[in-house]
Amino acid sequence: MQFRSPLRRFDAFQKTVEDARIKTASGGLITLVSGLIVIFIVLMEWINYRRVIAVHEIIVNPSHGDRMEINFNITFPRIPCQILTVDVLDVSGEFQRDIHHTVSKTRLSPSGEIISVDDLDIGNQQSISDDGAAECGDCYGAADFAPEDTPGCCNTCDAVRDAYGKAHWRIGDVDAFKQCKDENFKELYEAQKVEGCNLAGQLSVNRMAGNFHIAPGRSTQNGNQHVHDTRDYINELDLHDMSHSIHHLSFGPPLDASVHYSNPLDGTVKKVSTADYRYEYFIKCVSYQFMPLSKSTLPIDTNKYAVTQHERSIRGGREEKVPTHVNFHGGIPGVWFQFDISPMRVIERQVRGNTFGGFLSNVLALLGGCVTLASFVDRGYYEVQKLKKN
Amino acid sequence: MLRSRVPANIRAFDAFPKFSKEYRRQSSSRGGFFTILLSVLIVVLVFSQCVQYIRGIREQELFIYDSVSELMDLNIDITIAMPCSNLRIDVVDRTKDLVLATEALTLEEAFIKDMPTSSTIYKNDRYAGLRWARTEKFRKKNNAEPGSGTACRIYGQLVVNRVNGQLHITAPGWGYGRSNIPFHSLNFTHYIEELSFGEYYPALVNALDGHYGHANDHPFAFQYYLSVLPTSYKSSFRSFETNQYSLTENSVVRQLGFGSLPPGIFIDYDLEPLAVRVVDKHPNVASTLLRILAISGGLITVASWIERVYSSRAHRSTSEADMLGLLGKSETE
Repeated sequence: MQFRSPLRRFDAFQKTVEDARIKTASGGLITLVSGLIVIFIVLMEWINYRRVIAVHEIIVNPSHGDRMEINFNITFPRIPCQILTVDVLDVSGEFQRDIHHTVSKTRLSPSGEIISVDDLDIGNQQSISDDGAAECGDCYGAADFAPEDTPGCCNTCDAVRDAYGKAHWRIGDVDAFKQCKDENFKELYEAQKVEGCNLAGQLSVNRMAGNFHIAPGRSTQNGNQHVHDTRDYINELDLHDMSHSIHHLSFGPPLDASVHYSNPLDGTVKKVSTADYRYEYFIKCVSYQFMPLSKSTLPIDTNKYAVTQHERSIRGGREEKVPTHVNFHGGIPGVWFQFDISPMRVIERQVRGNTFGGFLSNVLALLGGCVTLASFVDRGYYEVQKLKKN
Repeated sequence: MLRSRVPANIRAFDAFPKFSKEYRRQSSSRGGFFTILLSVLIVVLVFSQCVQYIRGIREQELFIYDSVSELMDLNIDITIAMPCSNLRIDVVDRTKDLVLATEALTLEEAFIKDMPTSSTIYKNDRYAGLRWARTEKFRKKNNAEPGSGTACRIYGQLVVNRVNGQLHITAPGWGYGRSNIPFHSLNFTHYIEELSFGEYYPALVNALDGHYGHANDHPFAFQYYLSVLPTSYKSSFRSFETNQYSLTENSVVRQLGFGSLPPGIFIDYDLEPLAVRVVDKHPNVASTLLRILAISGGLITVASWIERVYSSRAHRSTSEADMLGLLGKSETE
């Protein structure tokens, strides 16, 4: 026993002889109650420790202005795919006209059934003459504006119409062009007049203020002016209108499927009975980074947005909803998405409600505190009882 | 007492040792004092924690505004040191809508001598802000005789699109419209009693509320740039949606001449995509309990240590005296 004696001096735990202890019923009750409290709080602490919470953090976006994807899926029930175009314009002057390769247009029957899915490049195929050599089609005076890959030649109906558009010439009757007559353009067009259209796809834009719009008619850029040839739309005003439903609109890659988030504009349905109507959505994009709980999955860099909508008749006049507003007269019908980029980045990090160390220290503090307080109360009660008895 | 109601065999659970008198050192008055002090401290602690729990805590959170918005209210109450006939109000915004501001706002003759001549400093008290906000409309003031006023009070609620826009207060002929208002009668000194967006809450103090702007020269232009953040407030009693803004200001004397910018008061507002969520709520019950237990437990332990140190010193000194008495002389001799 000799070796133990130096250590004995450090014994901080008082021990008493068993006989010296007095047990009381009140003490037992206090023990049980404090035990219940301990169990309750430990349970709460455990739940808090296991819980996954999202911590938001806001910083100034450190990334360089890369390009950004816009994903969209919009249905226009009363405009055929033929005359709808998707254009992108931004403040740097970049202009993407009638985007085809990343956008698919689905023709819809008036009742909403899918007729066909295609990129809608009617007659993109070159007309090949019998001897196999590519023929050089007449541009009917607009040869200077012929497609770049076939200088001076307009081999398809599309090419001729395009060239005329670039030259700012009107087309009276498409049947005057041999290419269009060969392609049966007029007949196809007449047959498609009553159809609807679904546009779905991806646009790649600069990360800066700009707009993309879906509007009827071929568009051309004339100096600073962006012009749409809306003649096809205006010719059949009673057939067409800009009613649309946005199934999806997002900026950047999609979030993880485990995160329940729907973009503000998803599921928007707009109905209008007149053709001269214009919708505008003012969108502010905020860079958004999502960091999942598990370290193995990579953080997702994407965007979220806030949006304000505005709609007006292009004929101007008082707004019905707000009589103090007078709408601007002018512009063309269509759906405009004006987007702007916020300098902030929101980081959402999934974390546990507490660290394991924090959980342990909370539990220990609780145990120590509870036992000390309970013994204090118990002692007090015992002494009071004894005083009363005496 | 308790013993009669509690079954006796619960006694077996008693984990707290109490000792019969013969095993304990004589209790001292110092110990009693410590015990009473400790009890008072613990009661105060429990009480303060309860008060803190009832008063609740306020949490602010920023998030990306995710509902589709369209319109908002602009509440304005401004007095300008010029007769109403010399003023016009226009709102232009990115939608190109023309807002008929004069139709929605009230122009009221007032007097320059009634205008405050310095900015009011509002104290943004923690609770004055939102919880006890009143919802009454703009205060009515005594009307001056038409045409006799030297100043003009413009007040009311205007519906604007939730996009970047500008509210202009200018003199006709100086910027917009045609008129021949003499140069020397231009005076854009003004006092803004209220400028807010969204639901009207007089108690929500914004940067321009109570602002006094003094024009040093006739062709003076006050330019205020506001960044508006949607704000939602929620507590167990009430919840509402409104807006707050931050302000930057640049006021200059305009150069006169062809094609120069007009003098006036220009309020340029822009919407931020971020929104603030203010939540008043009660803290967690478990953490409040935990804090009470941990602090009081620590207090008891520390107090008992201090008491023990004191009593052992006292004990040692008496025993030393006793030993001296026994031996009758010190050992150093």
